[in-house]
Amino acid sequence: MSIPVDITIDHEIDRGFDEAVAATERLDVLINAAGHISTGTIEDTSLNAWDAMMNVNLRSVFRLMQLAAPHLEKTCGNIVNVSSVTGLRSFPGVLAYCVSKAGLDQLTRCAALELAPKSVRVNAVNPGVVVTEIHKRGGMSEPDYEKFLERSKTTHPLGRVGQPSEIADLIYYLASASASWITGATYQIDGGRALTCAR
Amino acid sequence: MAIYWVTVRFAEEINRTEVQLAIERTGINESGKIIVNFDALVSIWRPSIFFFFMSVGSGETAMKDDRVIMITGATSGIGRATAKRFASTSAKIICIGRNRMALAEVKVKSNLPEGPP
Repeated sequence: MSIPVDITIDHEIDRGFDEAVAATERLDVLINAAGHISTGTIEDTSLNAWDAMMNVNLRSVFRLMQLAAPHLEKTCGNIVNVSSVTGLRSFPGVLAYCVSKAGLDQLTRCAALELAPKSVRVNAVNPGVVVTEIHKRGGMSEPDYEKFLERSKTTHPLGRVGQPSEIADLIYYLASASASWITGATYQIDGGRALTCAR
Repeated sequence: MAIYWVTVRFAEEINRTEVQLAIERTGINESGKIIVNFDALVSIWRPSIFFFFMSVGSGETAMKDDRVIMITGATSGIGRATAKRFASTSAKIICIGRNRMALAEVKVKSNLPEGPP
């Protein structure tokens, strides 16, 4: 049995990051919005699917935060991670995704404490269902996606799904000086979804 | 022009001329919107990571922001919307994406600088 590990990507991310920051000569804000979703339960999630999820949603964020920290320290900058309501609440059928986002939330909070003495803030936003390509890229068919969006009107108390620009506005705020005393937040932006309980 | 620097990091070597041609097909449309020709860029990309830099909102109406903002997942969804949100300021934006997050174009607002900042 062999386990393929793409160490090239680590290497390329490091080099790419270094070159990017060398070109701009500073870094003030890191926004980790890259994300991956796929369905799967405790019974049918393959190790490969688990690894792929953690690599995109958690490991790459960890590495970029680590690379960014010394630069953000110089500028008293900040980090905003795009998490999910699935980091705060538990849902069946998207096990690895939920775990990766819960991990991301804890990564956010721990790093917030560790970087606070350096005046670097670290926050996350936790959106509910937002209309993006992520679900269809994760394998959901167009008809299923339409049904999912329709059903989402009932699972979000405000009666609708979110738009990317609404999340962008919150990210922009958390990254701004207006949020200068906010750190370690995992900010719900989900039309009230995280408040709900089945009844 | 919005893009003033492009650096591409690949597992495989990419012909720099191809990259340059793709960038040159980036332009401003009749409505004054900038069109970043991602189709052209994506078509030459192999699985890996790319970075591009843009600084768009440096016209007089843009909110002043001297910061450098790095955004991953910037080619679609929330990352893309966030890039556009910052593009209304004069902040410099480092966009990071992967080719499977291909999209046809990113339209950003007008009032653009003539040349690289």
